[in-house]
Amino acid sequence: MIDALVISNIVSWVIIIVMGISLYALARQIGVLHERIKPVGALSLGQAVNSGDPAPTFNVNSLNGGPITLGGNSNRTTLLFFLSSTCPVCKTLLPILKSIQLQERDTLQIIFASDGDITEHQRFIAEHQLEHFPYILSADVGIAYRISKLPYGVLISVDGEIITHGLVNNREHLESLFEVQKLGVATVQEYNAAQSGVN
Amino acid sequence: MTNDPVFHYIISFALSLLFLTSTWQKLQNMHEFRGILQSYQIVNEKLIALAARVIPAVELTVGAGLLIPQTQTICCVLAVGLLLTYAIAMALNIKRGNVNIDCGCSFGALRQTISSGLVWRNIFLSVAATSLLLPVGLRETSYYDYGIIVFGAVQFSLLYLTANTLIDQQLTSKELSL
Repeated sequence: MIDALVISNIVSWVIIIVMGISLYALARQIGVLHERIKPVGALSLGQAVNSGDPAPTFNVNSLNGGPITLGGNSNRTTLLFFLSSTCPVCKTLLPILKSIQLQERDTLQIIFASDGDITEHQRFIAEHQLEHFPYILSADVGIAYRISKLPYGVLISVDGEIITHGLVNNREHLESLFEVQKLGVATVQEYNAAQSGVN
Repeated sequence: MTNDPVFHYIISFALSLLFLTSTWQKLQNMHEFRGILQSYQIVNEKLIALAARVIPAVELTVGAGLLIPQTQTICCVLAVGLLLTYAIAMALNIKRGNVNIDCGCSFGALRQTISSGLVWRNIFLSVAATSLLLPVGLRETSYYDYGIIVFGAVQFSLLYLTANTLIDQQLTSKELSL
């Protein structure tokens, strides 16, 4: 009888462990689904700049060589992408940004912006092969846009006007910035609010 | 009041595993960890580099010390201290409204932001750690008990991972108004 109880107990353990693993796997899958269906776009923070405002003008040197003019007229739309070498999410977005730049090279220019230690950023550029991108290191630019959270994206039109801006945590957020440009609204939040107002 | 050896060892093994994996993750992602510490805005800027080295060292000591009977009591106190410090740091940032920062609990591609669920998780873990301070009952243990201990520790870790994942999803559920 004791043997039977011991065996039954061991069988229960195995089943409980398998169920525990399945539960964890299911919970993770729900997380992946949430990420995929998330409708919320890049969250606009701070009121330092508004959509439609002229982008602050800066003349800065790129770490990858050459002067960069931010703001004013340009021949392509500019995505100013604020990042830091210590932010894990920024790194996950780099491959996406690279592929977007490649696909949209005729109409879009991506500029990376950060501040801090030059050597650290040079190492970061080499590590992530960002040599072909303008990469500026300027605390003034960050202050002008009042960047408090990273990664943060600012989309600037060919006329030097801010189209939209927001906190970018994933591919969907990044795409929402471009979506806003197409829809002609200031932020995805505004679009959602307008939609729910209609309904 | 005494603690049964089986409960005692399940908790000490599970907590030790938790601290050791956490040390491992921090050492693997030293650079990111420094960034996360900075975003908490609690440690002075000048002390960030030092804190980023000291914290994993303390976690390693706690993780290893919980397995050694002679050092268990002191490491248990340290563990409660660490867990509550993290809880307070998260609660402070939630109060400040600075919620869009990485909790530092998972260094994966998905960012887990801080939430009140994580504060409660840490409080629960510190209560579990406090139970290690109770004297262990003198009961004769056999191989069967060792099996239960291993099973219990594995199950505890699995439930911890699941709870963490579900807490993380709370925020997105809210955004999706599920």
